[in-house]
Amino acid sequence: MTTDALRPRQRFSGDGWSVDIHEDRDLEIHTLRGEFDFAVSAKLAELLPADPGARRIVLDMAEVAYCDSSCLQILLRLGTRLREAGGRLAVVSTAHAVVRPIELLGLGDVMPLHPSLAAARASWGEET
Amino acid sequence: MTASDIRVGGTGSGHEEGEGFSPGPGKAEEADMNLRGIRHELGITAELTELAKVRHWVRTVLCGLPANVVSTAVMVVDELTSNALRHGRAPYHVRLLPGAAKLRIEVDDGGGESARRRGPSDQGGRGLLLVERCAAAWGQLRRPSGKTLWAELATDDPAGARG
Repeated sequence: MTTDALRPRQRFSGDGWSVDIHEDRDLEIHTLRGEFDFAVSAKLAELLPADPGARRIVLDMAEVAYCDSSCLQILLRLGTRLREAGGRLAVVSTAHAVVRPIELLGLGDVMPLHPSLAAARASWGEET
Repeated sequence: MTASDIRVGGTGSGHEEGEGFSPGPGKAEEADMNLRGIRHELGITAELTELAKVRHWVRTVLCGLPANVVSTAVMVVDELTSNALRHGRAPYHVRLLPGAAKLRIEVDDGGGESARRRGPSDQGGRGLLLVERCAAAWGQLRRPSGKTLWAELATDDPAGARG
């Protein structure tokens, strides 16, 4: 992994949250940080691709301190659209605030959780 | 569990007169002792930016409780408050009523229409499902001036709090 590959390509932020989007080889990595609630969900929907095609997107949510059901709904919609187009979605996090609601709502099928980017890549049969 | 009012007993209901004072700063054990039986109430406006303030308030009031209970409480309060802001009407009040083995959460709004668990859609609908899945009980009370959504979390049983 080179330094260049980790350079943020786009950054969006608001009060208490940020989203960085960069590419890492063939993956698009969206790094979410902070607190995502109903005040943020409309903005989150705007900055995620509405028509993602067959991309492979990793949501790095390791530093998410809160994620409400309305933001999970936006991320779930992204996962559903990717799946329909032949793409993939993975969520990387061990944060209680992320893992708990995904498990309680049974969303792990469309939003599979992994403890690290390497584990997400491995789940797709890739070498890390 | 259905969205009807199931009273499981306990100290305050939030509709009785309460002192409404907060424990002063102190050691964690003191905070835990002071927490019980005290009614904590916060009034909020209709601004969505109030949600972050409400979560901060919950973390501050409940700082003596286990981390998994606090994070579940933050989630339940946030989802009930979001629901009130989206579908209800001012005035809005949030209450925390810590008991011996449970925490009761109440969110009032001035809207007359009952809250209901909507089907999941692009617009949302999973907030009350999330509340249902982590609360020991939940429901709503109709009042002449609006409604109260409430939920009770187990605070003594780590399995019950499913941290």
